[in-house]
Amino acid sequence: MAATHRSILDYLNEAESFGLSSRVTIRGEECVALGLDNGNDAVKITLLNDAGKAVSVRIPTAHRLAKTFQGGQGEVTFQLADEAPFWIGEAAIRNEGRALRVGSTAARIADARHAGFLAATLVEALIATGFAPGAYQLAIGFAIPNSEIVKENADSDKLVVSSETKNALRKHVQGREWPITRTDERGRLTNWILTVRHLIPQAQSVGTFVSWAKAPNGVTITDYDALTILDIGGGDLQQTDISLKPYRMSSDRRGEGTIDIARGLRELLPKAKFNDVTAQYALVSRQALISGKMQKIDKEVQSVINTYGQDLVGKMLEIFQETRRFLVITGGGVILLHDTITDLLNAAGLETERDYVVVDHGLASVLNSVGALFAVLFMAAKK
Amino acid sequence: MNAKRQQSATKIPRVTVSKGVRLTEAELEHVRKLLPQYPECASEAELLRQATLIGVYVLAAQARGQPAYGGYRPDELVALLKYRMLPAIDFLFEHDAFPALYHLRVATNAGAETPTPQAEGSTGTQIVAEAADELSDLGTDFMDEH
Repeated sequence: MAATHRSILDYLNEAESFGLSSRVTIRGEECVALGLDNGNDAVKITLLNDAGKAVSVRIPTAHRLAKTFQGGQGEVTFQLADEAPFWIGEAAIRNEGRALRVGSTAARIADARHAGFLAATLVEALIATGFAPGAYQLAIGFAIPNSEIVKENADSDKLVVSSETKNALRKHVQGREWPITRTDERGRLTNWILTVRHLIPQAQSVGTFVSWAKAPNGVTITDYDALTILDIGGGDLQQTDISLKPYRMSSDRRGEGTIDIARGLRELLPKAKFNDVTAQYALVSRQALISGKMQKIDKEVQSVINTYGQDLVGKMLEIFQETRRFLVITGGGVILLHDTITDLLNAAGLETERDYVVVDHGLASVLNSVGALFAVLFMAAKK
Repeated sequence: MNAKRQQSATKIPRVTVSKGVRLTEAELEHVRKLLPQYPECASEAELLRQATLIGVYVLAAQARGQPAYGGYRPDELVALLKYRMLPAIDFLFEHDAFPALYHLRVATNAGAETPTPQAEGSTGTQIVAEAADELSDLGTDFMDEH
């Protein structure tokens, strides 16, 4: 059947329906399946809508306790149980929000603000996908840093989630019930109760592998034996090598991700008073609030890409020159560095489709969450 | 006197006051074109009164300050809005511009009435049994659940 010979990524590129739904049944319980990539710079969440198409949201990891406006429209505000109301993402950035903690999953989800942030981003993703306010049981494919997937023990090749991450997920995410209220710009309230019923942690780059190597029905469609996924994230540049016969995975942090460029922008524009998350956001949006005016900063962004981006580019060039594997290049950094990356690949004598694929700008930052979603769908079918 | 006539006799008469509004000639032109289509409105002024009331109901539905809903009871406001707003929603549907939240509710209700799509294959794609086989080799699995 022709449909089985096209990858999930192909479907995404064509914005086609997968013929699947996020509404799944696991052990007789109705759940909503979703993929969540808990990135350092932004959380990315993907679900399928009722037409079977993927809907992704990307929300910067910014947080701020909400203030009351005296006039005009407000910001979208969330309140977890009876805690203080807060803003997230762009609303927080517009109002001098702070970046959430960065680092390992355990360090990040122990942040007292994180549960509210996570619940709020889930609400935004559900709304974007077409879910009405209500109570939902969630089955979450939870993308974690590759380094947190480790060998079960020294004598085993079996890969498992590291104890530190697993314990933190158990304590702060697995089984949690989050009653959350969302107030929109006009003051309209909706109530949501989200329960994390099932949690499927996954190395973040495996999300890209699933999207590239598998068809929506779960059949593996690639005939390559070995590939390298280069994930240019906000925090890290990750190299993940996957062998398919038999399946083996190893990953290596090759350096910092786009955060290095973002910090360069912060130094270049001290008046913008960036923090990590607002600087990352400014890199992509290419505008910043300076001296009371929202200003275009294309030149400054290009300048820091040309200077601070060289370290990142240099590390990628080493990989391009050394590898004998098929290369899949993805992550939010592709948005910033697409032209530089393709120039380097061509200079290294590599040919697109035969030797490498650079994931489309619009999909690169969310692809891991798409793969995490499909992992849930595939696992649910198995259960 | 039968019950109906008695009820009619005790009904409080409607007392109105005059409030001036300004409209452009172009807006009034639409009013004139609509008037023959609404025979229950005897005059342009009556049509404008109906239009004003519908507008007030819509504004009241959005009002969360005190008093909420501009003083209307929610059930009363629902009754007043329901049949006046449905043609507008139908119109938006016909022109592929329906409000997102309305669509969500319809979609969700439809989902509740139909069996799980994957179980029935109603959405077209059947996931193969071995789809998840290699995922556990890559460290992907359900967290143990208690």
